[in-house]
Amino acid sequence: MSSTPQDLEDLVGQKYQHGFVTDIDSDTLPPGVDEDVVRVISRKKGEPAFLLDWRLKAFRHWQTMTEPHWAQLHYKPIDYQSISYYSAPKSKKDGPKSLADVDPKLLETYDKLGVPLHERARLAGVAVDAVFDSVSVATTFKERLSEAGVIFCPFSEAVKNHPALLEQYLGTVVPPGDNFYAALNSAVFTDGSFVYIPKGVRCPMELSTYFRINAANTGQFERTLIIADEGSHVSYLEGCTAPMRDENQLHAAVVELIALDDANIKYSTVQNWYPGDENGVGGIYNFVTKRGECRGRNSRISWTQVETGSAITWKYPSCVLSGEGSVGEFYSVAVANHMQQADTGTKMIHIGRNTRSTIVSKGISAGRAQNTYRGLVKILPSADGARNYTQCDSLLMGDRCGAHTFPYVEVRNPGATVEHEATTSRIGEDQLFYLMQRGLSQEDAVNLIVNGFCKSVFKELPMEFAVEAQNLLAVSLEGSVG
Amino acid sequence: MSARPDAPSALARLEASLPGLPGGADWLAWRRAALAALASVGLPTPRDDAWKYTNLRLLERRDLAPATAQLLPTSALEALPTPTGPRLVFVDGRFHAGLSASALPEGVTLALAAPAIPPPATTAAAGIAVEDRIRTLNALLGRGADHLVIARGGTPGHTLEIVHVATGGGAYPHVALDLGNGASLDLLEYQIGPQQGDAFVAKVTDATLAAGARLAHTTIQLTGDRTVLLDDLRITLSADAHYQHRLVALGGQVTRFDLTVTLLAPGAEAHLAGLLFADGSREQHVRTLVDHRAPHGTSDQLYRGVAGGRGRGSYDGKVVVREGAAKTSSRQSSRNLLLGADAAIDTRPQLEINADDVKCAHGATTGTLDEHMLFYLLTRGLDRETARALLTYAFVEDVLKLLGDGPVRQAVESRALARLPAAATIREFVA
Amino acid sequence: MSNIQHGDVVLDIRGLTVSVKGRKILSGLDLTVRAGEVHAIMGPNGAGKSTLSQVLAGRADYEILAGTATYLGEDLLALPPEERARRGLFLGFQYPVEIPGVNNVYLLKAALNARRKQIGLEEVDAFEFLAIVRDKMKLMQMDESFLKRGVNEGFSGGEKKRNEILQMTVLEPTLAILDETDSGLDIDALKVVSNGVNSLRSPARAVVLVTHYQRLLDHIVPDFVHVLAGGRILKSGDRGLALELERRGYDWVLEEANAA
Repeated sequence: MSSTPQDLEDLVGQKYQHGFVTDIDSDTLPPGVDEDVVRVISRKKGEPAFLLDWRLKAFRHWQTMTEPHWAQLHYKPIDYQSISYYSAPKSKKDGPKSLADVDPKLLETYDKLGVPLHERARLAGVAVDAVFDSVSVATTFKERLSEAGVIFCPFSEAVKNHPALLEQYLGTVVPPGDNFYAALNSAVFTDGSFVYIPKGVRCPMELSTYFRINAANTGQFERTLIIADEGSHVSYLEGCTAPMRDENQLHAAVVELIALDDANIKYSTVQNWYPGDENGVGGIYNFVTKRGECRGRNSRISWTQVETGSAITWKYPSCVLSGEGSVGEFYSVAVANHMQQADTGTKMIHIGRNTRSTIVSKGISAGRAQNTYRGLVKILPSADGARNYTQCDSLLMGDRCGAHTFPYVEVRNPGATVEHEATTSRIGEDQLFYLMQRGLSQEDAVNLIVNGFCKSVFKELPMEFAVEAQNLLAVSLEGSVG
Repeated sequence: MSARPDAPSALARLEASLPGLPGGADWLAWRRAALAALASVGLPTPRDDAWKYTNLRLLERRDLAPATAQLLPTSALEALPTPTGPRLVFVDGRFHAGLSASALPEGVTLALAAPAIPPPATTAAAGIAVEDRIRTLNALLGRGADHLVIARGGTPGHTLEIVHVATGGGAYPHVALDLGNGASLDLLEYQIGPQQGDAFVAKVTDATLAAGARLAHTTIQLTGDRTVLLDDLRITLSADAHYQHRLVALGGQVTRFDLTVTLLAPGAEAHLAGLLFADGSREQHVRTLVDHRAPHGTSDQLYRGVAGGRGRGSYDGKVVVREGAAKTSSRQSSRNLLLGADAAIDTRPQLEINADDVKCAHGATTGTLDEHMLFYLLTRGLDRETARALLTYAFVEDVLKLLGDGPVRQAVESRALARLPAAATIREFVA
Repeated sequence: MSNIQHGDVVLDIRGLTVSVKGRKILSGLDLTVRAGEVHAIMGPNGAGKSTLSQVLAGRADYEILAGTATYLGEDLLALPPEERARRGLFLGFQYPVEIPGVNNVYLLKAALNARRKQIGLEEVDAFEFLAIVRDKMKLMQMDESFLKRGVNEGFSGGEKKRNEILQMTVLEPTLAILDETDSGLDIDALKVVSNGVNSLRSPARAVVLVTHYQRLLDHIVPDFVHVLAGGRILKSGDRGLALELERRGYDWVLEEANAA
């Protein structure tokens, strides 16, 4: 016999573990955005003229746009003038040179989050570019990377040191006017990460950034640009947690990936921002634009994401497959519990000949959450021999949640093959019963089944992330069986 | 998207034809108000999500006014297989007694729309919802619903045939089927149109199935190359009612079937299948909405699209499982074959699930022939062309076999076959 | 067909090296098969047994990196799959595909006539053909209803295998490659399938049995047994080798090969 919904409600009580606020003075702009704010941000960053112009163009375009509402999401209107668009931790004039210079409180924060920067980073061979409210404060493993010729630095540093690369690539995959959120980001982004892997270089370590949202009412507008030159390889990890807050916070990042001939980019995300409480109070609004272009022949871009956090997720990591024989992949686990709403998926745009894409999406809904997969596979007339395979499975836990699947398949080439499969079901009572009869607790049984459900995505994650992701899933779903 | 900014839109041009339509002054006033309301929002466009893949722009240049001259389409009727049961003929949306069977089986009555009935009380003064626009157009230009009533427990042993003939100009048929408790009907519907010249059909079909009723509905669309046909079907199913729809869309210029099936009570079943054949520059679209509102419902959908030449096809299917509709079982399958470099097919198999104890699945494929099958045939010594022709035929056959083994299938099959590549080779195999 | 004599080389594989999606499956495989012979190829899972069958039949998604395969003096690898079939090479699939809508009989008739045309025989008409098929169906203990069904459509695993052998007995190939034909068969079906294969044995034909288990070889006694592992033939022997493999597993062969 399986348990009653009542038991499960009790089990759901798990509180957000990463909820706390670090008390650091912030150098914060007053709320609101206009051209002056854009100028101030650009000046504070010491940006060259071309970037300010670029921002202003984006801002003017943004003013002509309206917020999109096609997604299966419901939330109160966002007042974009009540958000502060710049916030930097106060620190010594030139910022910390090494970990020793970093505010100890900040390091403590990372400890609580289970990100012991100096220890685990080294052990795992991971270089961490930690973003604390919009400004990068610590970067490790720089030397080893620079030996290989890899550039991995805060975006603001790249603005100063590599303006030519920026000017050449910034906005070429996600144009400043691409969508409402991307336009806003282009106007007011404060920092982020920049990666350049030179020709033929295999990046010697996993690159990683931990995003944090900290100061109250602070929007986060990260900008990430990764360029993999011919024949290079890079694996980039992005992980997020955020403190507990009552006000909804907006996050509108832009990530652009560019893979040239034979280059390979793997971008993995574990997103664990504050989802709001059981009643839907608080939580992050996550409106992200992530897109990669396989510009070169036989290049490959692979997105893997585990999305357990945020009150609202609006996110479609996509691949534009321009180069002949290029490959795009999207592996996703999206969990929505309580009042969370997730509308996520991908777009695979096949332009080049013999391009291939794979989409594996696993959506889990519990509580009163709504989880939507929205995807587009588009085969253009030029994409002879293109192939796509999509698998999209939903697991429902409880009878008040929703799982929605909206796949768009548009084929304009008779030599292409596109396959789409989707299933929706709940955790089988017989499976649960079997496992519990063998002595597993209900929770363990659920975890086991859910992990099995997500296995094909988890195996795409780098090892240390895979373990983290499983733990995260267990916490997110604790007791949500109906 | 009007043709010229100063030209009145196709809808506005209809104003002149309203006074000639049946009904008194109250009807005319109602039609005028409805037309004004519709003109203010326009016909659906690809910007409306449900019409993403169907573009009605070509209607701007068409005369949509209801056809007045009733040319007797006897030759067109003769081309159809001999009916096995009573046949009802509607010409340009109007029942034609002369061409129709005089006697209906016991338990079946036809109640034609009566002009004496007052017009609908409400006019959607503004903001007619996208899904109601074609219905509104039908209502304001049509003559009201002709009701076909199948009495409680009625089980006509034969197939009832309805032939809708369009002769040119606009046709606005509205047929409402009322099936009483346990009633059962096999309905075979043909849609034919002029082989030359423009025609426009905005058709509405309603079917209400009471508890335990059964409707096996087959639609064969054989209209001419200049016919635009929009068929809006709404089916509501009570407890244990069973609806089956088989669609074969072979003709037309732009054809679209909108099927909304609502499973209102426990145990209802809906089985939808269709073959969309979009060769030449034809467009064949189907949109389905299967709405599970009660527990223990079953639905499945099996659609096959073939597009060649500059043809376009789309399958836009949505299954909704409402809260509380536990033990729902639903399947969607859309397979599509592109035969030409300029052909296009779009599919969107959507699921909206709000109950957890359900089994829902969908699958969609678009592309060329299955290479495992092709390889298997090649290893048996068949040449590539024959193997391909056979597999194309098999693909189409997957739906056609649902029509059974009778004359209808033969008629449809030979029409479909003639338009497949390597038709002669296939015939040799199938004969 | 008739000009092939007992002992003529039917198939000669030299140094065949094949990769699938960048992974090398066969590496330097040698094998010679003569008319009148039955060869059994055994080996652990993943050894490349099925790859070998598929490559010989002409599957497109395998990349030939090196080596040759000569069939009746011709470069086999240069021929498209249908030409191989018409020259008398038959592959019995491990997992025969279902082709709904394509009738069994139509396929078989087309296949037989393609083969007959190749060797200069007249095509058979429907009556002759049905007589041939009915005869073979009796041998394979298959039901009449089979004639009406789509290719492998809704067949059980065992029925599919019978259907493969039925096709083989009708087509009378010079070289039959049977990929795991015994898997999924119960003992009665195994006997029927074996009878079908044995009925085809002749001095002018050769059979290659790809199998995981020895039990098939109790019914179709091979002249040669080969162990395929790591992409090549590690050891060859007679019937006795198969029995030894059943007793001792494959590890000792691998060790022996490593030691050498």
